Amino acid sequence: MKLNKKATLSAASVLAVALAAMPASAHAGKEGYEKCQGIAKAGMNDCGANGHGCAGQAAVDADPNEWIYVPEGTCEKIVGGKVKAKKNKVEEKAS
Amino acid sequence: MKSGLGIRPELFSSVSELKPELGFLEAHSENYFGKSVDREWLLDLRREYSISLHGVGLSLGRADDLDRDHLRQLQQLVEEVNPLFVSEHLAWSAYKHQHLPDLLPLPLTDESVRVVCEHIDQMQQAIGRQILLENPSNYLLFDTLQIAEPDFLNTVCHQTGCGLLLDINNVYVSSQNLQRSAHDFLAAIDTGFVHQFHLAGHTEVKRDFGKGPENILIDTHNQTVSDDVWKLFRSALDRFGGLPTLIEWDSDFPSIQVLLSECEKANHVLESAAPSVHGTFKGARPTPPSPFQQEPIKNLGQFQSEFLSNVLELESATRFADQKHQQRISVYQNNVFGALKEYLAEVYPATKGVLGQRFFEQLVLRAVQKTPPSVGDVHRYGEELIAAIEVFDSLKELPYLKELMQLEWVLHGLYFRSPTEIVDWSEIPQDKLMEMKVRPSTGYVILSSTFPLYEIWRQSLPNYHEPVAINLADGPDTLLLSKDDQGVHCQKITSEIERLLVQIDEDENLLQAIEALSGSIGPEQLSSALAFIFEASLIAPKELSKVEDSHDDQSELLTLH
Repeated sequence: MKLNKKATLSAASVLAVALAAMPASAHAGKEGYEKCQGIAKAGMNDCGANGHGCAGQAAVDADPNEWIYVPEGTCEKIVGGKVKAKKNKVEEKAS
Repeated sequence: MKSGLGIRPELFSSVSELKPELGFLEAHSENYFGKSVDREWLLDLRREYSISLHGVGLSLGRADDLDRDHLRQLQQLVEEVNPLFVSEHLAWSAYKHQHLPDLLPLPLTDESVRVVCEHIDQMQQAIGRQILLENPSNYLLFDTLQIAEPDFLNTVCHQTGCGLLLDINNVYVSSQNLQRSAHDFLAAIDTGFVHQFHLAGHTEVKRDFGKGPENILIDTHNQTVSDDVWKLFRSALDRFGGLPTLIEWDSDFPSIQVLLSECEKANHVLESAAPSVHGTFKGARPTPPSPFQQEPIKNLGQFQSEFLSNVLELESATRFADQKHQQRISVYQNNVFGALKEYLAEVYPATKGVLGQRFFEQLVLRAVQKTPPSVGDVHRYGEELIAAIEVFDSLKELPYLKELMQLEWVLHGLYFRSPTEIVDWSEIPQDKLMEMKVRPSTGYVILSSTFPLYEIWRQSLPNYHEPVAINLADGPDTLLLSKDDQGVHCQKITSEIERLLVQIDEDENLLQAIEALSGSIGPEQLSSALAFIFEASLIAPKELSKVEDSHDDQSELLTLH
């Protein structure tokens, strides 16, 4: 693509402004960008940890056949995405 | 040698800071497959400590072939770590395409001797050194006519040249659960084969296996070593002499001080031990096992395939176990599903937040039953959970759920990949910048969602304690998922950044890309988007060759739907 001079100039100035902004722009705190959210130790890093062990589990869950029908986490608080509190039938066999 | 400590990512920072005096550290090999931050930590610790690698997922007892890829990964890790010992378990976890994250019980038959010996030969050949085989915790007996475990271990050591890692807690747990004598077990092990000891805590639970409540010991590794196990350890030292000894602790972590005082206790016991008799075995061949009168399990492969489905289908009994132990299969079911629930809750913390614990666990159960893990590195498991949401009618009302899960799955994958490529743009003169060919850098992912996905994710994480305030109408979102030496990150970016990146990818030139977009995006927004692209290192000069395994680390632009 052949560039005309005027366009090149304005594109160059966009680039120059970007470069000038660079050293100081810690984007994490910059307006218009959400603060970068790292995954806390309690989250993702542990997944490497708890992935493999050679130990057994002592705790036993409640009867896995007692199904609950409606999710009950933050989904209940999302405006426009609330789950109706009706009893949906879970299909019995997944296969 | 001073006693060692099982090292886990939870303990990295305290061990690195305190640098306690320890004989060695032992790590579960599979947790360090891939290029995770954890692997870097482990390699750093190698400067201060000897490391021993303890495998939990190779499945030496599987009736079919070992997983070549798993062996290759282990071989690479062994090469990098140069460990003190490499060990695995006398157990199996996998057959054909199913691989469960637990040490499943191996019927000790002639066929199993052949299978285990062949696999140990392959393992030792692959890593070019001797391995140690660990005795497992047993919860059920198959048949009284099996080879006794000490005889089985002796035979395997004799035939393959491997050594033994004697887990004293496992000897104790098994002896209690199967009503055998722990001392007879120790007395039947040939002294020259033992190279290492494990010590760990167990938990006594009351379970009803159909014949009224009974006590069973579970090898939980979440508490101090019991008095009885310390006693048995002393007996083991009398027989085998002092050998490298490890304190294992794998969940419900106490302060590092508690762990170190367990190590101290082991040191104290070790001090009184006679020198090791290790290496003095000249001897007489171990007594060959007496021939069977009948073989209860005729075909190991058939047994493993059926046992796996007994576990996965949550069947209340397995026909393979000794009659009074048939319902104890629930111990393995509990281990498998419990481990996968914990693991998947860490892969999908926000999804769990959205659904609540009980619903999340039910989703996990469905996913695991329908599509269980297929490889021994559990970190590769979890995408199956996304498909499982289709089964639940009530989840159809959460249109954003699938995208949230895709976001978490991508983040999880990044954790095991090379960090996002870093380019120092200050080195490149501005006039050169205008002409040079550029490309997207490697190791990040950009996701586009029609929903306010960032807030749904952020506010559903377990560490978010403010009141949840999300309006589904606040989408769409564009997210940048990246990785640095601290871990993985998710941040919201403007759609202009994404459009500019797409354009740069197409034009391979900054000026052309800026110009192409200058009609639809204002100069200030373009500058600001470009500044972000430089700052976050999202592009690189084309002549700069991509980092190794570039195919694997290729950046992606994903539109979720």
